[in-house]
Amino acid sequence: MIKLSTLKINIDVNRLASNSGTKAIEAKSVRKTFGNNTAVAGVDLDVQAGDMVALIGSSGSGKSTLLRMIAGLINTDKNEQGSIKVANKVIQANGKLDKNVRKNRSSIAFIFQQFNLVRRLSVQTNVLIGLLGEIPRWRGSLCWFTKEEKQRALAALERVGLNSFAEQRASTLSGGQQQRVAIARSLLQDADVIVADEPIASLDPRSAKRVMDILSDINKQDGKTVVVSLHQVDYAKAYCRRIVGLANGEVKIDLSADALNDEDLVELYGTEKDEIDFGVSLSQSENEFVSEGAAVPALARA
Amino acid sequence: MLNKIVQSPQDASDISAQNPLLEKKGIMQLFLWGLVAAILVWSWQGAEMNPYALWEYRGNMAEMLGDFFPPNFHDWNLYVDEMLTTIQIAIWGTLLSVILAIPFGILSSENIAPWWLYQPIRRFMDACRAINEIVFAMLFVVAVGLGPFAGVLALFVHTTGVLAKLFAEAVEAIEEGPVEGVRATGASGLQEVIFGVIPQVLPLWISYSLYRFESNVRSATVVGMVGAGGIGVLLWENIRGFMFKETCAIMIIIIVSVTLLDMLSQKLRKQFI
Repeated sequence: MIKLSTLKINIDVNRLASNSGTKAIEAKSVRKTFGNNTAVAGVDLDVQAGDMVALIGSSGSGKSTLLRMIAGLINTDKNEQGSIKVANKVIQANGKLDKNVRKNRSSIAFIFQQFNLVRRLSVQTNVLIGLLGEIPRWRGSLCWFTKEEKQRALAALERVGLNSFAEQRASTLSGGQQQRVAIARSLLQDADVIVADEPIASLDPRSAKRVMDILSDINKQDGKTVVVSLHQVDYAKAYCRRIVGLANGEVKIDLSADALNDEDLVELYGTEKDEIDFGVSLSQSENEFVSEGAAVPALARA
Repeated sequence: MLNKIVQSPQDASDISAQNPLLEKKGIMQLFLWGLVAAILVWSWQGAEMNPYALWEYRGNMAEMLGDFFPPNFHDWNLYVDEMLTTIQIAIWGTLLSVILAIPFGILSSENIAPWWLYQPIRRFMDACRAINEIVFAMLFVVAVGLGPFAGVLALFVHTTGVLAKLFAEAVEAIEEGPVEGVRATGASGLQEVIFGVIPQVLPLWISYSLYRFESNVRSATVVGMVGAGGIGVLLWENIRGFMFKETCAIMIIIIVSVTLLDMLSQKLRKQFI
């Protein structure tokens, strides 16, 4: 059974190798505003099939919004030229999700910062959810998975080193383990593109490294396209071939990882002095929050 | 205003003394208390409250209480039989309503259904809930004839209204993340509900259903009074015939059964939470 799935993986690699140079993601003039707040201000982004791309930028630069639009989880703003295609399938155009978006989402596996597993279901069932886009709707809705599919789920769990946890509830796992289960789910989904939104932001350094190793392995072994947004530039440089930097919802830098230097980062995150200021203002706003909390009981007493 | 307070929390009490906003709040509070008092007085008159009657007719009450004792268990097997019918009415009344409350509950949740769907369904459920079981029982006795089935239907309609609301409240309190996780795999809308929503709300749903079963057993003892089967029929006949010793025996059997079922369902509920 496991051999069968390896065979499948080999076929994938061959197919992608012969197709190298095709685009896995094509995003054209993508914009998104929330009220008066512009999250993404017109981004064009093409990603080659089989590439591993890091999306970096400070908080609020639009990384997350961009990734969620690529996966068809939110709409873009209405815009005649705006469109997003993934694996040659239209995800959305002109601010409207494609009418086949539910089916087409199965070509994009999404890894969330907060893992988004169903905590009361077993680890194995969480992984099997990855098949819902592929198997007939009626069978998925009845939670009817074949023996072969269950074996595939176990094989995926084995690959992320968690097959002994298959029967446990997802809620009993640590954050790093839950993220690996989420990756196993995306393995079963067998999507051409894996989009990961801050997959390691909530993890300790050891778990973070493990998760990035697995994502990198999937990219190299299975030839999947991986786009990952990251807070830590070090990780981006170590694991990705191409680095795209966002600031204020626009692409500010787009380089190969080797070419990225400190000046680019200064340009992306603002001057170094600003960066220090940013740190201070963050702690200031924390203080403000505390004093606001202290003011509340005083008000309540009055 | 708020900024000022935030900057100097230690001065908050000083500020509040001269703060017109807070003064206004105090007046508002006083007004609300006055309103509560007015409502209480108004209802006292409407309900013709007369605690003195309790004292005035104390003799009558003592006499009547005396008529209840000792309870007469001569026909105990008939009473137990009818009590079992009552429980059977409650079981089916609850089961049918749980089955219907699942789709109605999900479709009246703001975070699942669009407004043009959840608004009419909610109003429909309000209507089911607004009418008491007894009223439905009287109507169903006319429709399907005397007997326990009318009681089942009465409990079923009312409980569907109650459970759909409780189920919807549970659905509206779920975490959105797991649902999005399921959506991202290419799942259908129904599958989002099956895999993302239901596992999250199931413990609460089970707990609410068992609780409604308990209260349906209590309600089922009453629907018999209008002819919809169960122990209520006997209860009503004996009260009307001033046979208080028999009435007392029936009431004791009801109390014991309801207490036992409450304990059982509480045990079951703990298993699921």
